[in-house]
Amino acid sequence: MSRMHGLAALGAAALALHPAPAEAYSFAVRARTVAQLYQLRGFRLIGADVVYGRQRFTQSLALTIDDIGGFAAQRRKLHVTGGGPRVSFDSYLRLDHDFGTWASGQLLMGAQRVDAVDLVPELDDALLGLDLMYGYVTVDGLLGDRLKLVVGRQVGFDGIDMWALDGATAIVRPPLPVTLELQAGLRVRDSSPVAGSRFELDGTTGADCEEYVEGPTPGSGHWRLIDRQTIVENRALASDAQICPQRDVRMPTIGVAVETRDTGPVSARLAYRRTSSSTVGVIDTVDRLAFPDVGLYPDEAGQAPSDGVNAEHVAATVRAHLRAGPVRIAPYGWTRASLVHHLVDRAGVGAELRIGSHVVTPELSYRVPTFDADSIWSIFSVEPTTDVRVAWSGFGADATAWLRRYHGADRDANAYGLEAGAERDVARRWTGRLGLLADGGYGGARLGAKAAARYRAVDHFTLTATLAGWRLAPDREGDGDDRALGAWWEGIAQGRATWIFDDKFALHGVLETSASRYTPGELRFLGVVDLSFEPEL
Amino acid sequence: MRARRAHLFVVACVVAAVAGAGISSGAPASQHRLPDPNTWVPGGGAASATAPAGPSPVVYPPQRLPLVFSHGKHLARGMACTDCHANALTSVESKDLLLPGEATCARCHAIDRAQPTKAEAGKPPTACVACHVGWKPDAPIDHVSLPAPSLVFSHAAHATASCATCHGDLSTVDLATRDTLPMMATCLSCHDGKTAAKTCTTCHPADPAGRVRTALPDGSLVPRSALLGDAHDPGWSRRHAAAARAPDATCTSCHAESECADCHAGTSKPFEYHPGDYQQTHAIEARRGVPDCTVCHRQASFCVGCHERSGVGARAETDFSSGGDDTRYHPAGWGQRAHAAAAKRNLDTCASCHRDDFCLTCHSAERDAPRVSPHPAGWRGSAKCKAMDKRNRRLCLRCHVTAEEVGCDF
Repeated sequence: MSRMHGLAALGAAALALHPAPAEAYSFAVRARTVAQLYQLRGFRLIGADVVYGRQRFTQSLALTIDDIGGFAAQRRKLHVTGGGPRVSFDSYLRLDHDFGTWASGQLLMGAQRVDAVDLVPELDDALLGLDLMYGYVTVDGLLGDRLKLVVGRQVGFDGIDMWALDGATAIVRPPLPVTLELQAGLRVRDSSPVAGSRFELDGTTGADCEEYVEGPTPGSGHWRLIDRQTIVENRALASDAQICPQRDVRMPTIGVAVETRDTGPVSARLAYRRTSSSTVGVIDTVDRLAFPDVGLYPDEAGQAPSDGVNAEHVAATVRAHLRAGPVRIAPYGWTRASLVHHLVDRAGVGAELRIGSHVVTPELSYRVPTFDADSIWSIFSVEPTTDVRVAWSGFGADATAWLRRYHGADRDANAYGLEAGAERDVARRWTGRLGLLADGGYGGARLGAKAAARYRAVDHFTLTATLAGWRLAPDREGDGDDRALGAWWEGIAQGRATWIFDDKFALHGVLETSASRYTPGELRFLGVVDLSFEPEL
Repeated sequence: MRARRAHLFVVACVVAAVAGAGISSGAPASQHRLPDPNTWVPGGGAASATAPAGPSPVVYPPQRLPLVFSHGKHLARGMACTDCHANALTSVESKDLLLPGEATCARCHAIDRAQPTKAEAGKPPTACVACHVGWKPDAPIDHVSLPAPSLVFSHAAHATASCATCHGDLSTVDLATRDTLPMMATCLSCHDGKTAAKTCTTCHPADPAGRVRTALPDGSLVPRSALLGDAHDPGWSRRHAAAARAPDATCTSCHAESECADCHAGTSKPFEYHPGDYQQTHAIEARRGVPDCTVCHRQASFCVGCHERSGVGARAETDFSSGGDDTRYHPAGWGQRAHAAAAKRNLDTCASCHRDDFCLTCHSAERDAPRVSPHPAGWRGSAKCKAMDKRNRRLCLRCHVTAEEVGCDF
């Protein structure tokens, strides 16, 4: 579905909901306006590199309407004890547009200048990104507070992944120490109404999407790029990413999770989620030719399945809260298995240890890169990594040391690093912070420091100045033209101002410049107007 | 000798002032160190970066108690708490003032405002200065300041418990300061979800959406204990992943999903994470995969789009490659065997520039392709192959086009 279809759907929904006034007990609004001005470099093989401007404007609106219908308020007035239905609505809408040459500029293709978005379709999101990040209705307190229903676009961050779903979730609280979650709907993807690509499964772009032309005998056909000229009118150069039909199919998703509830110091969650999609067969609406056929997948002998699983995971997380004398211990662990890849691709254990004001967090984790099961990378030979990380904080300071081990069939490799910082109130209105960074191994090495001073001019007005410098030495063993770059220094100077008025209105401004190998003296600006409004009750 | 005594006196005054202000130790100050009631604030567990113990100044704002009083002495005389704090039995809001007034004190202390210095041997003190620190007949009295706690609390609802359950043993305490106010651990000993409700908003004021109100008159409410494993101390923003994915995560008690999305699906360049000319310097972190870029960025759209626009993508015929081959970024020979180790080590780095179809140029089983197998050793007939074939055969069809080649046992 195109973006225009999405806008149309939103408009239709708004009309359908039109004129009846809603009754609700309260609402809250948070609006943010973000302006960003900075430049990015475009590298050219011949001639000087070009500099593109980014002039980004982002407007977001988070809205919460609580107790729609006033059911809970009515119960309070009548002094009714116990639960009962409570209806609420939450949404987060974001409009993002780049006025700069980065998104709206042109590129040279041979001797011809073309719109950059025609060759790089991902820029389309920046040209008019209208995303409904979430928008759902919650009905809680059903069946004697045993059932909660959430309907609409939902987002979540759990042991499986960061997900977004157009559908429904039922949260059941039986008379047992567990909570059961059931979920069904369509996974949000770029082609979903009023959505961007941010929540789409990673790995499959569909660009350079090819179609299979059957040959005279089964298996003798060939692949070819989808004929863009005939499908995309007036945009002959448009990328195949926009017309790859597999990208537009819906992704039905189901999920179930069981989580402990009020089980004392130990809690656990076991979750399962599965996303699938139907297989695009013949491209276009009808099979125009008897033979040879044109389809997205070869199917002369009926070998193409009717659908496929894009992601299927089982994840378990556990955490406990223990105490041994003066030491508080919060051990935790997580693991995720990708059933479609038949492997455990995420796992880790750690513990947060607190002794007085000191917190030490050792952690051991394991990871294998996995992708959307439509991506051919899913069957590639990949190697896992193991990470050891120890973090400490106390006395207003913090430090993190880490080591990543790359387990290679031919030879292993390591990367390692240390970050540390300390913050102190150095005078009545002054706070200072010093940070150090050192890392090395696979990927390259960095060594740097950052110093910042914050001045509270008045209670709600703060000025911050930051100076930082790093020595950068990309890995010469690596794979890129960094071999020719050697090492260099980069420094930045940054000024920030923040004014908060009555906890409901904030203005932030950041101005930054850098002494860089590539962009010396470039100015970058970020301005934020943050309006958070809650009505008086 | 006289000069030395003067010097010691000055030092003693400074030490007393510092200790009294609770700056250095954070410990409750003794009432014997009260040089000036106008500047003294009881310690009450002063919170700072170096001494975070004690009640939160955001929940229990700093108080001014220019009083001389001993709970210990009064309790030793057999008095009950409610003899002076009778309102505690009926109070339903934390903002209620429960301190006894002069009339309550006068039941035992024969206070006579006409005789402010009156003292009778063997009887409870009656002089103004006996209770009001620094009282002077010709100066206004220094008043007590007890800002309302930012809590939802009903003393009446807790009247079945003894006062000591929450306030501790006051028989050894003189002036009760913020140190004798209950902290969260004390509350959670009963509010465990079984004996009493343990939702955050049971005690913390909520906003209309039912989330904990964190912007409070005396500052921002920020978790700082290990009770829930979510102490937001320095470095928290970089290591909150484990707590966020924990089954008992409490993030949504205070934070709306929009706050998560502002970073994890963000549209702003976060100067804190990506300072300076990050476009030129991110390759080191991206190549090693630490931190994990995919936590916030989708490689197949964000990374690829940006790389192509800035001239380091794989698509030909743009003004950066001038129609040349793809060897500008990679060294000669990269396309043969050299890239395999890097690809196996961190396939994410390949995915940040190349679309997946790109690899099929060589790694395909088509007739005219080089037919370089991308599969790991032992793939044929493996459980991994069967799992993939069972769940998504169309992936196999990208390379294995004939019916005879489909499956894992051909």
